Order: sequence, then C-alpha cells, then structure tokens
Amino acid sequence: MVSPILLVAVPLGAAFLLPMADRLGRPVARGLHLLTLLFAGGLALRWLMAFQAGAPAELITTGGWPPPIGISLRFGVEEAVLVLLAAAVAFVAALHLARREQASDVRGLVIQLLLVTGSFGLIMTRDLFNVFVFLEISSIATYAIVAFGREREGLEAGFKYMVVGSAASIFVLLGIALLYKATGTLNLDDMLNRIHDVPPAVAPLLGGVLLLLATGFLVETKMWPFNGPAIDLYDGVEPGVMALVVGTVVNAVLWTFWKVMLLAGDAWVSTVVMTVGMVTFVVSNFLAIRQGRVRRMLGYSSSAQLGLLVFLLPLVRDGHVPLLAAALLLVNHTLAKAALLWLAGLHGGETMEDWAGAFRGRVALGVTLLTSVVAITGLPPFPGFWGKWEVVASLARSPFAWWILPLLLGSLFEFVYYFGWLRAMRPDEDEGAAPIVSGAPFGILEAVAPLLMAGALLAYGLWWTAFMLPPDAVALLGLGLLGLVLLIVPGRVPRARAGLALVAMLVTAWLVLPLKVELLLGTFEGLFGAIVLLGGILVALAGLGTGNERQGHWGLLLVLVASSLWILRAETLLAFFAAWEIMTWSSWLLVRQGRRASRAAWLYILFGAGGGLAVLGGFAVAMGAGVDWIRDLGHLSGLPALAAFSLLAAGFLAKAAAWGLHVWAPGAYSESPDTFSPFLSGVVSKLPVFALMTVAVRAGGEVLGARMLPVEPLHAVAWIGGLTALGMTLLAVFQEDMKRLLAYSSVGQVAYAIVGFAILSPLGWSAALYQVVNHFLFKTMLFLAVAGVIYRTGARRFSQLGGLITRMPVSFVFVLVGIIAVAGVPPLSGFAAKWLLYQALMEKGWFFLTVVMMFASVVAFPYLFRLIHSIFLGQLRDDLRETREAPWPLLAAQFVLLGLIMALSVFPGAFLASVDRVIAATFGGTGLRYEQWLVTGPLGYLSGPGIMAMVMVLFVVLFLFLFFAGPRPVKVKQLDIVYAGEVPPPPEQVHVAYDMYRHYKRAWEPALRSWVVRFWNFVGETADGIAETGRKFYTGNGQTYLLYTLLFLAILGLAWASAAPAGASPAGPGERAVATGACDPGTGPEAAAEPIERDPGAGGTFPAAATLCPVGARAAE
Amino acid sequence: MNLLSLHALAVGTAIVLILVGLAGALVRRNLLKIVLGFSIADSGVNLLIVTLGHIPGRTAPIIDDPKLLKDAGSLVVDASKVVDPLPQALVLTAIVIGVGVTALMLAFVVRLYAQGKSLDIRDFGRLKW
Repeated sequence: MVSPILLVAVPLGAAFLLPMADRLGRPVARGLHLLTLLFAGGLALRWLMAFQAGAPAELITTGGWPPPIGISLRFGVEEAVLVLLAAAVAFVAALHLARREQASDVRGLVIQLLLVTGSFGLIMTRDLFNVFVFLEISSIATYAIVAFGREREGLEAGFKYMVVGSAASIFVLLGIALLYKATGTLNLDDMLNRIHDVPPAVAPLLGGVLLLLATGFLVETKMWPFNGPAIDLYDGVEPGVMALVVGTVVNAVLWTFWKVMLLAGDAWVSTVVMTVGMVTFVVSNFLAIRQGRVRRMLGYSSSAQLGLLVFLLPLVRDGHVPLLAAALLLVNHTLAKAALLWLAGLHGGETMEDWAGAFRGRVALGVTLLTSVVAITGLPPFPGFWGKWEVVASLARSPFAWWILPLLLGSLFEFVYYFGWLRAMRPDEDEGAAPIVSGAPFGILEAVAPLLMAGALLAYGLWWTAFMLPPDAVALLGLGLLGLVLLIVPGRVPRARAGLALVAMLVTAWLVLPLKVELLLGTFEGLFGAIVLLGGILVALAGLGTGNERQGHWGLLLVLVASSLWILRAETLLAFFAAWEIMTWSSWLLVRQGRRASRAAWLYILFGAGGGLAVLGGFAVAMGAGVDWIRDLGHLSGLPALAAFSLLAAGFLAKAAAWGLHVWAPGAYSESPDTFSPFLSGVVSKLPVFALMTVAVRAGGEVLGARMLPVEPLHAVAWIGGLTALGMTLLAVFQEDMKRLLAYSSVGQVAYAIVGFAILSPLGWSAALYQVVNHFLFKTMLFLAVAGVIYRTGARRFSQLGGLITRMPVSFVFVLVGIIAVAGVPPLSGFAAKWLLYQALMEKGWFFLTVVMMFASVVAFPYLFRLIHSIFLGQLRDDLRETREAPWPLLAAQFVLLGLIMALSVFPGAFLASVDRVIAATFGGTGLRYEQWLVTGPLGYLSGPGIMAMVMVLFVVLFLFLFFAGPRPVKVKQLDIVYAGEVPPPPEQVHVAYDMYRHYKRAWEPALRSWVVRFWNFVGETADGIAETGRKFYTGNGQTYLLYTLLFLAILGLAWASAAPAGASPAGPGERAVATGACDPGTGPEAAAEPIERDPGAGGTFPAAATLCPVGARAAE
Repeated sequence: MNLLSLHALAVGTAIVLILVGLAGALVRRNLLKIVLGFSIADSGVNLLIVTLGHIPGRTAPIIDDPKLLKDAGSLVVDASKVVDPLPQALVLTAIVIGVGVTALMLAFVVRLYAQGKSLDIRDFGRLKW
C-alpha cells in the first residue's frame, strides 16, 4: 500500500510545483491543487479500509534510522480519520474559495497546501521536536492565509493572533527542550516509557515542565482566557478561510495536544486542562448570547466546542470517556462549523439584523443552515448528539459526574444564541420592511460546499441512528426518511404533500398499531400511538383542504410523527432521549413556520431544549447508578431516585407547560400554522404525560410509591398542575384572539391530566388517561374548526368576527359540541373526566386541591361561551357576508373527531375498561367496577347512555316550551348604541365582543399579573447584562491578550510551586489511575492494583472505562 | 573560572533575555518593538536550549580534531568527548523558524502601517467584545 509519508511529501512537493504549473495556466494549477487533496483523501480512505480489515497501525521511520533516533510517524485509525476529514474540508474549501482572493492568486493555493501539509505532519508525527516544526509550519501558513485578505480587520486580528501565538510557541519550545533534557529523548513513544525513570534530581520539576507545555497547547487551542485573538480572527477574516483552518490546523493541534496529554499523567496538569476546557465551554457559550455579530458569534462557538474537546482529553486518556465520543464531537463540529462559516460567507450579513430573511427562496441553503445548527447544538440524529450522550453517559459512571452540570449549562447557552440567530433570520412577517437580499451573488460551487458538509453530517448521523432504532421500526424509519425527502425536495404543492403524508401515515398506522381495539387501548404505547397517528392523519386530511402551508410543513410533520412513535416504543434511555430531542426540534421547526411565530418559536425551543437537558441530567443520574434501560428505572433508590425523578419531571413538565415553565406555550400553540396547532395542542402536549407515566410505570408496579416516587414531590407536582389549570383558565377568559384563547385553554386542560397522574392511584390514572384522550379529541376538533374560520375569514380576533352561524353552520356545530366537551358538563365526555378526577382527589384526601380544580372548571365557562358567542352568534359583519363554509376535508376531519367524542360520551365504560387493564397491571387493581352501561367509582356511579338520554329529553322539552311559549325575539343591529353626549370610541371598541370581560378583568387584575413572565424576563435580562459586561474582557488590544497569557502562566506556575509537594511527583503512566483520583483505592480495590496496560505504539488505545474503573469504584457515596 | 559558572551565566542570560523580550512585547506600544521583543525572547529560548545540551568538560560536536574520533580509521565520534549535539540541531531549526515568523510579523506591520498610518498597537483594536 502507498506509504502515508507521502501525505507530507506530496502536498509539500505540489505546493512548490504550483507556481510552475501556473505558468501553464491557472486551470493546471487548480487541477494540481485539487488532485493533491484528492490523493491525500483517497490515501487516507484506502488505509481506513485496511484498518477496518484488521491491519495494524503503520509506524513510519525516516532517514534510515529506527526510532528513537530517527523521526518516526504513526498512521493509525485516528490519524487516518483526521487526515481524511482535513483533506475533505480542504478540498471543498478549495472549491468554495475558487473565486475569492485566497485562490485567485496562485500564492493562495500554495498557502492552502502548506496549511494542509503542516496539519498532516502534525497529525502523524511521533517526534516532539517535529511537533514544534509542524506546529510552526501550520501557524505560519495560517497567518499567511489570514494576511491574504484585503480588509484591515483581518490583518489586525492576524497580528494579535501572531502575538499570542508567538508566546505559545515559546512555551511549547521551552517545554519540549526541557522534556528532552529530563528524559533524553524526543521520540514520543520512547519518552512515554522513560518519563517515569527520570533522574531524581530533575523529577520534581517535571510536573512544572509539563504544565508549561500544556499551557502552550491551551493557548494554541484557543482556550479561555486566550481565545480573544481567535474570536477576532473569525470576525475579521473571510469565513471560507476560517472553515479551512478549522478543518485542518485546529483539529491537528488538538490531536497534538492529545499526544502531549499522554505524557502529562500528572493529576495537576489533568485538573488544569479539564478546568480550563470546561470554563472555556461555559464562558464562551455564555458570552456569545449577547453577540450581535454573526461571525464573531461563530467564533465564540468554536472556542466553546474546542473547550469541550480539550476538557475531554485527560478523561479519554484515563479511559473515563471513550475516544469515539470525542471523535464524534470533533467530526460533528468540523463539518457543521465549516458549513456555517461558508453559509456566513455566502450571505455576507454581519449583524443579526442583516440576517433577517436570509436565504428566503433558497430552500437548499436554508435547510443546510438549519441542519448545521441542529447538528452543532448536539441534537439528534447528528453525530454530535451521539458523542455528547456518550460523554454524559461515561461521565455519569466516572468519578467526574459533577462535570455534567456545567456541560449541560453550557449546552443551554449554546441553544440560546444559535436559536436566537435563527430567530433573527425569520422575523415576524409584518415586522420587517423589505426583505434583505443576500450580499454578493455566488456561484454554484460556492453554494455546494456547505451542502456537502450538511449532507455528510446527515448521512453519518442517520447511519448512527439506524443502530438505535427499535428492531421492528422499519416503518418509523421509513416515515422519517420520507419526511426528510419531502422536506428537501423543492416545489410548492402543499396539497400533494399533505396527501402523500396522509397515505404514509395511514400505511404506518396499519403497520405499527395493533388492529384489535383491546390491544390498542390496553397498552400505553397503543393508546398514545393511536392518538399520535390519528392526530397526524386528521391534520393531513385537513391539509388537503387548506393547502397554504409552507414547503417543509408536511415533511416535518412526518418526522415529528415518526419520532413521537419512537418515543412510545423506546426501550433504552438513549433511544428515548434521541426520539424526544428529534420530536423537540421537528415540532419547533413547525411552530416556526407560523407567520408571526418568531418569538414564540424561540421560546418553544429554549424551553423544549432546556427541558431536554433536564431529562438528560435525570438520565445521567440514572446511568450513574447503572441503569441503561427504561424498564430498569425501578432499580434506583434513595437519593439518586429522587434526583433522577425530579430532573425528569422538570423536563417533562416544561414540555407539558406546567405553571412556572409555561411561558412558551400560549405563543407556540397560537402562532403555529393553523393546521399544526391542532397537532401541537392535541398530540404533542400528551407526550410528556406519557413520559411521566411510563417512567413511573417502569419504575415498578405496586412498589411505585415506596421506591421510585416519594409521595411529597408528587404532591408538589399535583399542586403545580392545579395552579396551571386555574391560572391558565383565568388567562384564557381574557384573550381577544381565538387561537390564543384555545392555547391557554390547552395548557389548562393538560394540567388536569398532570394532576391525575400525580394522584398516583388507579382512579387518578384513569382520570388522566381519560382526559388525555378527551382533550386530544375536543381540542384537535376546536383548533381545526378555528383553522377553518381563519382560512375563510383571515381573522383571528373576536372583534373581527361574529354571526358566522349562518355562513358556517357545520363548523358551528363542531364548536358547540367541542365547548360542551371542554366544559365538563353532562352529557359529553368531559363530564366523565372531571367526575373521575374529583373522585380520585377526594379518595386521596387532597380536598383543597379538589376545590381548586372545581373552581378552575367553572371559570372555563366564560371563555368557552366566547368561542360560540363571538364567532358564531350575534349579527354577521358586513365584511363576512360572502364567507363560505370551511373546506370539506377540514370538516371531514372534525366529523371523525365528533363521532369519537359522541362514542366516548355514551360509552365511557367501554373505554375505561380497556384502559383499566394497563392500570391494573401497574397498580395491581383498579378503582372502578363495570357493569353493562354503568361505571361505579368509590363515590357514585356514571351511566353514559343514561345521562345522554336524560339531557336529550330535557333539551327537547325546554326547546319546545321556549319555541311555543317563549317571548318573541327582538332584532338589534350590531352597532345599535346610543351615545349620550359622549365622544364615541372607534366602532371596533363598541363591538360587544371587544374586550368582552373587561369588568371581570378589573376584578382579577392582581391575579393576572404574570409573575412568571416577569421572573423569566428578569432571568433573561440578568444573563444578558452579565454577558454584556463579561465580554468586555476581550478588549481588542493584542497586548491585553498577551498579558492574559503571561498572567495565566505566572499564576499557574506560582500555584504549582506552592503546591509542589503534592504536585511534584512525576506521575508516570503506571500510577495514573491513582494520581488522577480516577478510582479511589479505598472503594475500588482492583482499580489501584491494576496498572493501565498500554501499547506504546498504539497512541490512543486504552482500556475501556469499565476495565479501568470497576463498578465498585462508582459507588463512591 | 570554572565551567559551572559559565553554565549558570548562560542560563541566567537566557532567562533574562526571555523576560526582557516578553516584557518588551507586553509594554511597548510600537508594533516593531513588539516584534523585536519576541525576537529577543526567541534568542533567549535558543540560548537556553543550547545550554541544556552542554556537558562540562566537553567540546563542540564538530570533528575538527582526530582526537574526537572513536578510532582513527572510522568517522564515528567518541560520544564521551563532545556535548549533546541534538539541542544544537534543534536550535538551528528553531532559528530558521524564528526568522520566518519574524519576517511574517514584520510583513503584517508593514501592511498595517500602510492601512492605518500608525504603529501603535492601541490603534488596531477595532475588533473586540
């Protein structure tokens, strides 16, 4: 096979040949350049395949001398991956840069190749001095390509970068020379063996030398507080060039740092590196939230991501975290950041405001941008997600579990600014003036570059995802893939897309759902799966009628449905979390398609992703206790159980919009596209209920209360639910916008199910499940009815509507039935739900909460009345006289729901009896008895048909009485009002539906003041303020940055010197496990006894965490 | 004078050079002087590395005297008579790299001056925060 040494020789030779080739014409030079990169990539790929087949890592010697005298290079799997990645990015960068200065001049091409040469050398070399040489070659090439730009900003940034970089070189060179002095060798593998036999006279200083070297590399990898110039570089230099630098030099330097960390087994150095890495991750992400300049923000992000990788170096070395996890994060960051930088270059917008309406009409680029952002924030299915999960999972099992906290915190900040950027890109439609057109026009080659990266990310991510899916989930994968295809394929034919989605979901329902009703309703998965699929099918059916959705709508809905079904079927924590996160981002993208959903979508993803992080934290606690399967959650006990459940509950309650975490919900439910609101409110809001229940169920049947769920936290959850129900219902009363009213109502109604869940009794769970189904049916129907009204009238505010009963009589009937069902009065299904809930509450003895729930239920009447009154009753407005009934597919969808509501109302027993089978399996008994038409609970009985018959008879009697004996109606005109010397207000305000409940509003004023919104505003403003002050740290002056560097070294040196007795021991690799405190000898007897086995030639291969840290060591508490 | 003090003198000089160089780069506002500061610090590092390879009582690893050879017939050096040659080789490389970096920094200074008509580093801090 071709020797990997050519990876250095060929690009170097080609770099010198380029000017000559240029004499023959620029295409020849360009061809040579691209061919060289292709050669490098192909060579790396060929070797990778060989390694896959079992070939050992290649050790290359040079100059005819075997190591340790001659310089040696290593080419193994890790090096091959890095070289392939660098070659790929460099190749695509060459295409992208083709028309820019950096490539229009042949010298630019030369520098690009030198950059690649230096990186390849840095990746492969096993000689420390050679490390220095290649480090300088790459640095000089970086400085040079930076200087190519014409802009003064780039030059300034470059000079500052050189100032700090020169200081770093001095540290590195000094460190290497002193190491040579101490060990008498420069060969890395030789040094690894010799480093613990250093002469005693030198030994105490070795730690200091390694600290110096590590500091040099901390500066080279742009850690905080040295990242100022690097961030400036992102700001001032052509983004396409920065993508090249990220893909080549940055990764190579990081890999070199890894090699150095192999030497530095010292606990002191490890702690410093981990701390600096994590501080960089958190601080850079935090400071970025106030960053208004997009490229600078990307710089902060790069710094943060590298910080995470640097943090992992000592952990990977000591076997606490698998190398693969770090590799996934690195690949993910390289590809996604390159794509983002190229997109930033294509668009050319500098500030967030410039990005308003970016890539509008350029769907491929828009999707690429979304893909890259979702990938870089570590969401599934992209490689970064699997990497981050693996990192959290391994940390949870290691003695370093507490580091997960800052990791999650930093990730949250990452969401804030990346999704803030996306928010700026899609402002509300009536906010922005003229859409801003992208800067310079660009060619197809330039645009292809980010597409290739995003494609690679997606392919690699899906490849990983395929391993995680449940074995029989081909249907889900198919559904998701079809969704992705629909998402990407251009063309605006929403009805055809909706039809395709409809067929796909029908087929999935047939494949996935058990076809017998008892099976369907007799399991949690079946019940919720039926809700998901029925919701999806009905919404798609309605879509046949509307046809005004944005392009990605139906594709995303399929992804959302697939991920929701996956949540229901997930068996491992990982599968569940992956599906949960896909559900979060796909529903966020759908919310974002609303016309004025800019802020709503941003809040949705912040709380969704933040809730996701809480779930991850909960799972981390569980994994720390050795639980990997959802069904094993019951093995938790004591404090870990409480911590895990609290975190999980917080995450799920955020998604269910419980009081305190609800601020996202009204906006998201109301500003979503009209055909998505039914699904979001009807279906997606049920998933957290499923999650709460499933966690509780798997925690183990009859021992539920005792082991997994201490009762007190659940009482708190119940009260949170009660407060949500009451507060949201009150707020719903005073809404002037019908979708917003339904939004508040949704949040309040889902809270009933949460209260039912928290009662943790068979009766409570019956009530919760009944409410889940019930709310799905009537809220989907109401939102669809409202969608029909909006579709025909274009109006959402009550004062713009009225009297539509004559124009849309069918919709009127649906809304009428819907509000009766919501109200919880006989004869419809809502009554049974509340009947069950009150009984369960009283049985439990939570009487005060019962009163609250009853009150909330009564308060719902005024707002429900508004829906029927202000939309359909009264006089028809002049501008609505031509309104037609909603399109038939919308009505058909509502009709299905109406039928189900009637069935559920008349035969509640049939449904409850099926549901009870799940509950009986969980609790070992149910609280209800069933006879033919009768359901008997502890406090009374319910007969669906009886109630229905009674109400019907009463209705008919009263109707006939009023019809024949009642007073004659008097017709009033809509604006039939007398002004007694007053100045009349504008006509809209005289409309009876305008601010209908203002008198009550005045009375309720103090209760309505949203303390929660104020609280979150305060949190946001405080964070903004701190970030604003914090980023002043980067003064822009090169000398300040140099001062930070020298001060850091001085402080660190002093600290090390004063701690010398502890830190000075030359911790060789053999003693590493003890030195780093990895496995406390006291708790893990095997840990200390077994030295880590190491193959000197194999660089990165270490025993897995399990062998290094036996289970005994984990139980540190 | 014994060689030990020469050794100490060299190490001392090297450290002083490094500190002077870094201090210059830190406090001088003039871009050229900052570059100069790094040059001085580089020299200090190089001097230190050469000193590291020094072994008292031995001579330079250059064959200018047959007495340095192991036996008269071959060209193999008697390792016990010369100092460690490796640091000297390293320093040669480091000097070359240092020249390259200095030249590049000066090129930056020239272009910065051409654009900003100033050599004060405080005038080149437009990118910040």
